[in-house]
Amino acid sequence: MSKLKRLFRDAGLRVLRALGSELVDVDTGAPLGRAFLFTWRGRLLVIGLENAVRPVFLPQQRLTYWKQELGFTVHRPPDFPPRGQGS
Amino acid sequence: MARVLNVILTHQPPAAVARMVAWWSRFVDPAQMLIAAGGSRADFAAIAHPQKVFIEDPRLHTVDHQREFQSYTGAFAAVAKWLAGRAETHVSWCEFDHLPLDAGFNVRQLARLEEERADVLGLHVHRVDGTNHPHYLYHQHNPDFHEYWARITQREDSEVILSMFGSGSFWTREAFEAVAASTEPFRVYLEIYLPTLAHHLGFRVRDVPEQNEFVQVRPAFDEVVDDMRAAGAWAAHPVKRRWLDPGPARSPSATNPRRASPSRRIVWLPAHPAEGTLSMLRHWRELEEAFQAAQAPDLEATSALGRAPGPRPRAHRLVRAWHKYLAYPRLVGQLQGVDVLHILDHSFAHLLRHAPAGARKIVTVHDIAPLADHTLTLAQERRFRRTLTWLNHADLLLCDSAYTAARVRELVGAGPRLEVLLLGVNTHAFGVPIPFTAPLPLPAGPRLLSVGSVIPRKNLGAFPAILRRIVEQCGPVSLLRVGELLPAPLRAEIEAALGGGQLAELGRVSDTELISIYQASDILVFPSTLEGFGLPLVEAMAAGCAVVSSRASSLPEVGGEAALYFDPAEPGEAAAHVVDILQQPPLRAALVERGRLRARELSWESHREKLTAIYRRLAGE
Repeated sequence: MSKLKRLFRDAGLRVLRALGSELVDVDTGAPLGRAFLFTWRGRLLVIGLENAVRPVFLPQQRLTYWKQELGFTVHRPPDFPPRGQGS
Repeated sequence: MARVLNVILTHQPPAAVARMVAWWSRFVDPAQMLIAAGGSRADFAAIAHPQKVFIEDPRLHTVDHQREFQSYTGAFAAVAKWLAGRAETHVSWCEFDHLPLDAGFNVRQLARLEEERADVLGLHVHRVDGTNHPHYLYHQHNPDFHEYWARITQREDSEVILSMFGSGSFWTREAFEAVAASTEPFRVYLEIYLPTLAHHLGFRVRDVPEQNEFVQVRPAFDEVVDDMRAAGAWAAHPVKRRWLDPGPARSPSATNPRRASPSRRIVWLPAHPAEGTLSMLRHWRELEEAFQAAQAPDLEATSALGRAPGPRPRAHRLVRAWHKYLAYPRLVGQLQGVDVLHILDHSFAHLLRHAPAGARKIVTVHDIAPLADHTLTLAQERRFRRTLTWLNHADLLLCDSAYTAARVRELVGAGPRLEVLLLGVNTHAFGVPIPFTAPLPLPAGPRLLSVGSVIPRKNLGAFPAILRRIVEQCGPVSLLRVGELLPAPLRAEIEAALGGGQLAELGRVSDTELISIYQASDILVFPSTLEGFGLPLVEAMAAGCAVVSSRASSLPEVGGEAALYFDPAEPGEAAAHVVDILQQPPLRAALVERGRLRARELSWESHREKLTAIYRRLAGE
């Protein structure tokens, strides 16, 4: 990538992250980084996030039909036992 | 007793390798070091270190590693072969720019492996399935991706996908050899493939989190190396240019490993996906799959736009213009080290203007029908003609049929060389039965099929007359219509000819649905007056559907002896052929059989073989 293009992209991402919001893990509350979120053509675009996160709809304490919340979490660090000891 | 083999993967020139070995020798016994060299054979021969192995794998030589799916499969296989009969119990795998910093490098890795009861230690090991991890998302697009892991896994959960950095990892010999012995089913980026395969083969893959911070770009290695050691670093990465002599003695392979590679680099320039041309996307995907299935060792074919995406709608014209005339030419202008540049769609012939110097240039011309059937506006025709003037700058024009070749010759004169290469059909995909799940209730009676757009040269206006005659002689038949929706008056005429409920308009369908529709139909009726090739004919044949086609333009050349032909101006002749097929089951069986044979002649495998020969010939000239 050319230096100029990289410069523009980094500057753009810096601005978008500043405009965006801090994402937190819905399970642990740990920060996941900043990202700018917006919808476009029925999709949620996530700009500037540097961590691998999983989107999850959040459980409701009170039943609402008109609003649901989408949060983010991460996989726990891989810790699978070797073959033959369960998986 | 544990014995570690330190494999160092490099493509650098011998002098740089000597400097690298000198650094490594401060921390590791040289007898435990194996240089896995992926540069040129001449560089390999000149490497002084006695333990070395040559890696001959074009997929090692990538520029954009992630988008080109860089692979260590060939390197792993070569090292595993070298290991045969030796006593090493573990393999430490490092790229040339991954440096040990500690004399206890191997001891610490061994101890950690033991402590974790692991088979593989990696850096930045993460579980990435279901996440936004770009490498995962890039592979998720391939339907075979998850199916492959489900097939080979020895775990309960086949969904698990792991990622780790490729720069440095530590393996038990058993895990290393098991991964080296596996055949990569399709292109997978090494940072996904290696840990995920090890995991699904039943090996335990663990991260070394406290070492991850030493694997990142830093401005000046020498200034921070002591700090890193003090902070507990075993190794550091990346330290890319450390071994290169800045003087003039540097080998060309040091700056451009691809040029040192013995393989020829072929770059495809397909029609941009924003155009939304399904047939062009399918052509690109089939080529990609055919070359992936049997990559020639001396040719490395990739697309400048990465992997072929799935079907997508046509973008707004401003977006299309942006890609076609600004972004795409710019991308082509940045290409380097290309031996053959192949434009897969003549509508993008203007990209030849930006072709890298020294590259041989091929353009595939599918048809120039828009000039003949006068469906373009004056401005569109002017733009199309201007694009076609670039055909004269190509070294070779590949035409889909002899008919198209003759029309192109008239257009470009005696200039460029011109060859005919018939397109292919995926005989495997079209031959495997797929249950038909129609969104509409399927009409009763024998099913005729019409596939394609509704532009005038498709001659769909002939259908009412054809269908009326068939119904008169055979009773009720139905028509399945795939593609652009029919104009309301034509639809009304066809419904009147067929009777109520006998027309099923299925619109634009997915590739899988299209195959099932071909298989569920009895006869494809194709009254087109002008085609550059006639893909529906061979697709129908591959799916076991009889074909009644117009004898106009390229269609008899494509269908051969496996179809019945009619004059597109004579609906009675078309109807007579359909009636014959419906009333004579042996005739239908013979047409289906001949169709399957014809489709096999036009498979993508045979297309790839011919194209490979053309690439070799052109690159060698």
